[in-house]
Amino acid sequence: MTAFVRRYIAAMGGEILEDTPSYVRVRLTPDMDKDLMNRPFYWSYVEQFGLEPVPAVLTLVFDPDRPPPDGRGEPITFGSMRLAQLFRSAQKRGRFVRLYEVPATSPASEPAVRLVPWLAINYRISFRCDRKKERLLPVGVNLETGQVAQGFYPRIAARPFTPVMPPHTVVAPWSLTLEAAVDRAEAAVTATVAAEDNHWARDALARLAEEQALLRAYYGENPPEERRNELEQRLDELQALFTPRIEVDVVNAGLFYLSTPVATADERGELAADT
Amino acid sequence: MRIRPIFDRKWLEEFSARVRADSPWDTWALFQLAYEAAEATLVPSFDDLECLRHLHAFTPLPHQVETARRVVNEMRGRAILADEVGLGKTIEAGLVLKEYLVRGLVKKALILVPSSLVTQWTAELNQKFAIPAVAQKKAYMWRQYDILVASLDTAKRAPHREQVLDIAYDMLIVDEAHKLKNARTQNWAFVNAIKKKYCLLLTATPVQNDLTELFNMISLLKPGHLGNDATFAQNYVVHKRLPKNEEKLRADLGKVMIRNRRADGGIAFTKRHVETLALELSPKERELYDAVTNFVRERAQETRSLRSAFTLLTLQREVCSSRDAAMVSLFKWYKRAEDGSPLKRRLRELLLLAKEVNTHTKARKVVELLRRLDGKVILFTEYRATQEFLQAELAKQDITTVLFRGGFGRNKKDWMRMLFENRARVLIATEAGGEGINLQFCHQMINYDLPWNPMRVEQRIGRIHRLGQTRDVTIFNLATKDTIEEHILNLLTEKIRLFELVVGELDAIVSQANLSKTFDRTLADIVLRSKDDREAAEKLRRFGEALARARETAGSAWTGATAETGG
Repeated sequence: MTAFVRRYIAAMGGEILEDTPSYVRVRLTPDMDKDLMNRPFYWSYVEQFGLEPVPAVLTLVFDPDRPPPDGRGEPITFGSMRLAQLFRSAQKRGRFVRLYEVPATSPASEPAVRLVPWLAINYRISFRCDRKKERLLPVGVNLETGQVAQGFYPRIAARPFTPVMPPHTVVAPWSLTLEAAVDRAEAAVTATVAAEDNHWARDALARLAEEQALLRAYYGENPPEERRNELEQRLDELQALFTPRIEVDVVNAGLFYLSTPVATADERGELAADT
Repeated sequence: MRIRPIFDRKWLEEFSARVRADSPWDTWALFQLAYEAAEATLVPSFDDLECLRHLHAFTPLPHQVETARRVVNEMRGRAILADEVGLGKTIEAGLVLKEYLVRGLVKKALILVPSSLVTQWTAELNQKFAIPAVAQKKAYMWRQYDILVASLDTAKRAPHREQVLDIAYDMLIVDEAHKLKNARTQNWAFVNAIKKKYCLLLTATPVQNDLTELFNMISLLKPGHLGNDATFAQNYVVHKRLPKNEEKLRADLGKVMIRNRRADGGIAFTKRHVETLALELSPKERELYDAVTNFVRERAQETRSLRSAFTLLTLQREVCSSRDAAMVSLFKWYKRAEDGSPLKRRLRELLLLAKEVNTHTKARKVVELLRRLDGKVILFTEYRATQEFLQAELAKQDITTVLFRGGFGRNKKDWMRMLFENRARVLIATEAGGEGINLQFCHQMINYDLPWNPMRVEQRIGRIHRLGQTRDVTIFNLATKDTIEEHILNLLTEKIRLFELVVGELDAIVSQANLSKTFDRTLADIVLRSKDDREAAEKLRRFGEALARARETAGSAWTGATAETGG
């Protein structure tokens, strides 16, 4: 977590004023200030009148037993509102990338390195009824061949990437539109989810049915108008509470031009060669 | 059965635009951080309590964690939390709320509490749980804020009512939920009309008088769980206090109610010392007491109406509290009495007797105690006149005091509590002040007079003897010898052993005793229908025996039904 905070500050370009193992003091950038300091009025004022902004200085204390000498600062722990803001800020500003893998150095005389385009989508799946669990499902779609690879992002996360196309490289053509690729990715997610144990959903439906029956018994066969409306409301509440749903949203996505292939088959069968 | 995933494709529009323009792109570093942030905030399982790793301000106790876990995993997020006073129902509710917030299952939550607790709840949710709860102050706030703490009395009235009922809440929490025991009240109807999914009702006293109260609360939570009015009565009730099919009732209750008790162990409490001080009335006080007592008894013979009987009884109790308390009532009657009537003459005599009283035995004792004790003291009385009298008396001795009453608004109550914590030595509270403030920073209490309802005594004690109290608690009870007060105190201390009871055992006893009326009503009956003190004492003794027996056997039916905590 400490590492996360330091990397976040570096990635956002915050100016570190003091750096110790137990705390950091950082002058925020305007973007960080907007994400972390909850002062939209200040920023609209500054921007409207073209003033020189003065971003805040934050002191984030990792070890509350060893705070800064001046005693100022706030503990940043898991579950703190501040860390939640950092998480949100990172997710807001790390949504979409287009990156090129840096090829292993090769003499310039060799033929140019061919870069294969992949669409990476990091899905978050929520299984929800009155309870909820989530998981991440990172999927990659080869835009040249249409091949779908699950567990894509973790496989490439350690590779070197650059935002500018490296010299001596060529980009392979796309054979899929973006929409078609997304269709494939979603189909892969749907298939994965369908293959999973769904007892949680069956249990939720059983709870729903059980409670609907109790409610109907409570309100009786033919409740008077007013009670009937109440019953309807109660039934709606039960539906909202128990109906099992699988909701899928996207954490982030990117175009990755890879110079080395992603393993196409995996001993654990995690990679599903599609089509 | 197959559930088709619902894909949110909003992202694709923006992504496509960026692909077409080949800009603007985020950085690789932030992309990685975003993924890690998503991983870190993920809820990986249905069952584990996620909220625990989010808590840093404090460590919840094992029984609180277990309660939260059961509410979420077994009770489907709807439960009556009925822990005994001081075991941390607020913490349990906070844990459950936090869990659902962390899981993203609750966004909009409403917490209805007595007005005196609004600030405290708000502070606790923010400080202990990092839940951004806001105290409701203005009508626009209902929609503006997702997590709102409000007073039930405010929320149920226009213009708030309409707004509250228009919102579909994900979670509703009601504190002091015994105020919802009667299905014919405005409170009940209002809460019943609120749209909600998850719901917690908090009360230390789930049953005060009869089983229907429990049925009514459960009907707010999970209508039909105990059947409807008719089938409930048929299946579970022999008599309003006497359940039938206990096994089944216990099992059914266990699905919607959790009651942790101190006796369950594992919950560390400081010790409680109780000292009863029997005081000899001064001759003039004695004269006044006897005269009032005779007056009360004579009038009680003449009156048929229950209401005037109660008024008489109040007078009897007031005279035990303080001369001033009795004078207020006497004077009110005097003004109302017909001129020249024997009643008026009689009241005038009593008032003159009262005026004669110039030594205040109890007050003197309080001053003596305060000299002897170190630290802060809460002084409880039932009567406002006594409260004001005490403030004046203590001021004469240069003892700083703060008054606390039920009639104070929320801000004033908070202010008074802070004054007490920071500035004053003594808090003088009337009964209404007993409910709804936590005063753990104080560990000494004087009961200047006692409520006749033991539940309310229990609530008084619960103000200071609760989790978070780090010191042993000392309680002094003042009782004037050879008065009705002494008999009652005797009944409460000797027979019920009220002050030794782990809090919460009491309701078991009261229900075991199968009282056909509420506790204090039974007492009233005894006092008013006795020819003299001797007879009253004898009847009280018998009543006490019955209670003592109930105390022995308590622990079966009702306690059992409400005590289930294990999973």
